[in-house]
Amino acid sequence: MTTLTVALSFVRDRRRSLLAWTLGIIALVLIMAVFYPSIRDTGADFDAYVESLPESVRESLGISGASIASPEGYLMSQMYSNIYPLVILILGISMGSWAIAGAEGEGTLEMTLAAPLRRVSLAWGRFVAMAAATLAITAISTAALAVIAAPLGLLDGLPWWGIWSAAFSMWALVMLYASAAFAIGAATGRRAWAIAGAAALIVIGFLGQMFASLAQPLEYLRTTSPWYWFLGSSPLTEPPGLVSFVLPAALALIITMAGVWRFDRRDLGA
Amino acid sequence: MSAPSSDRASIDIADLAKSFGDVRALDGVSLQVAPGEVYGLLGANGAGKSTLMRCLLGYLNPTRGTVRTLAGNSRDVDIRSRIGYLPGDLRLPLRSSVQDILRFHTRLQARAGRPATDAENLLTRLDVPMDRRFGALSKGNRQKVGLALSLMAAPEVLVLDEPTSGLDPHMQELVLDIVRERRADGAAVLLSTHILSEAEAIADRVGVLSRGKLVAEAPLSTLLDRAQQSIEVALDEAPPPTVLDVVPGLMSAAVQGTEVTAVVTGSLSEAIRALAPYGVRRIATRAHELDEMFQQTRDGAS
Repeated sequence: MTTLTVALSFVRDRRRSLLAWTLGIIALVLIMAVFYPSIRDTGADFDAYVESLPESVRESLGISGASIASPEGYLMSQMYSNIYPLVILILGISMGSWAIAGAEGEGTLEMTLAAPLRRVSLAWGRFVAMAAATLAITAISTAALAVIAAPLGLLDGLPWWGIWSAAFSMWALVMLYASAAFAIGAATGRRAWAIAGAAALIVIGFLGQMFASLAQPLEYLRTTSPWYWFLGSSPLTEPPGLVSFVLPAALALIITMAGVWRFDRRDLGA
Repeated sequence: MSAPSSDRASIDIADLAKSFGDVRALDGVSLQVAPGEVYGLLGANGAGKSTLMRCLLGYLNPTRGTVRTLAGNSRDVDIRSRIGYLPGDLRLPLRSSVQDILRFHTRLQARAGRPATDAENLLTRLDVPMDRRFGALSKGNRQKVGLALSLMAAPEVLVLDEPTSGLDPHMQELVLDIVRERRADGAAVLLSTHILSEAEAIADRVGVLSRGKLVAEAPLSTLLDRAQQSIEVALDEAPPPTVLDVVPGLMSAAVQGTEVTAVVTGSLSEAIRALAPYGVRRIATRAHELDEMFQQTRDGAS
């Protein structure tokens, strides 16, 4: 219950900011969706362009195997492989890096821990808040997409649960990187390191899986990239599975546990 | 008031050392604070006062030594719920309302089985502006919020790092009154300050930290006894230049005709007795302030 008190307080303190993020992401998703009919109508030109790209690049962009003019191809290439997870990643990393390291740098952690509250409870409470906030925003924006996608034909040929499956897998990806920011911040107390560390992991993961596929001997390395776990798993047509959901979620938990363990034992900054 | 034994002390610090890399912030500090006692921790900026308090509260891990609060670890939730803490540099979320901040702390206090029973009374007495955002408050009002948070659960141990900083004189006196009330209720109070009149007004015992070491510790009355006092006397007859040489604790003396000035450690009665046969016309004495003594102690340690 203490963890819940901490989580609610963390969300309450950010309610205006979270509302703004929610509205912004909904707007982004809706704008992306309403462009679909015009892409569909000129699908042959886009497909010709896409065909000219290397297979590895197409896979990185989430358009391998499906026409960009198709709902699956459009959703994967224009939303789930770039801007949509990216903005939620920015939110998750922002919350994760602030949860401990930001508060410590700002000086507010000391007074928070003056209350009868174990460091472990504080850390898990804020982790839960971060996970819940990113999940809620992912779910709300997916609900908005579901409302507008059907009349635009953006769900044609997809199972009804397709965008929800993609949303959950995307959230697991976001949680993995947000947890890295959280854990680095909790372990070091330095927000800049937390943001830089998570950003470096994102870039390495994204570019690594793209470049690894270009060099045949290194292709197996793609399977180590969380981006490949998400984009390579056909999230719109396959339910969240071991690789696309359980693996990143489990890694997120392990990384977080390591960060909390270190946070519980180290000196707090002044 | 003398130092309590470790087994009845609410705060028990033994041989505490804390280093940050090559910098030794605390070096072998031992002190105890009994229930119902106010211990004034004096020292210049950087002397180690805040580091000592942060070790006491478990924010910092000691490099050496032990720290016990209420016979346990201050990081245990049960013990923590019985400690009130006000840091020297109070920071709370700027965008949160005072009400939200207080609600968060009162909920945690209640969950720890120690409800903030004194919150209403304190908020009224301190005149805390509840409906404002913390970031919109003046320094004095922010300090009031911190004081309310530290005092609201009637703590058995109070750790206050310069508690009257930023407050007007009326509020300073009110805060000291509240601390006295907590002492009367049996709380052990560790209070750091560099306002020496504050220590004189409230502390039963004081310790002087200098460069991480506790260089002096005694009941305030004892330290004052050790303090130097000045005397200026006008006499009817000129005494011999050596008239005060027999006075115990004589630090310096100057005889110019019928005017005598002297500085003595401890009682002035022997000096007055030595000068009495020469007909005392006028006498003026001045006890050196605690800060002068504190300065002497610091100079002695350096």
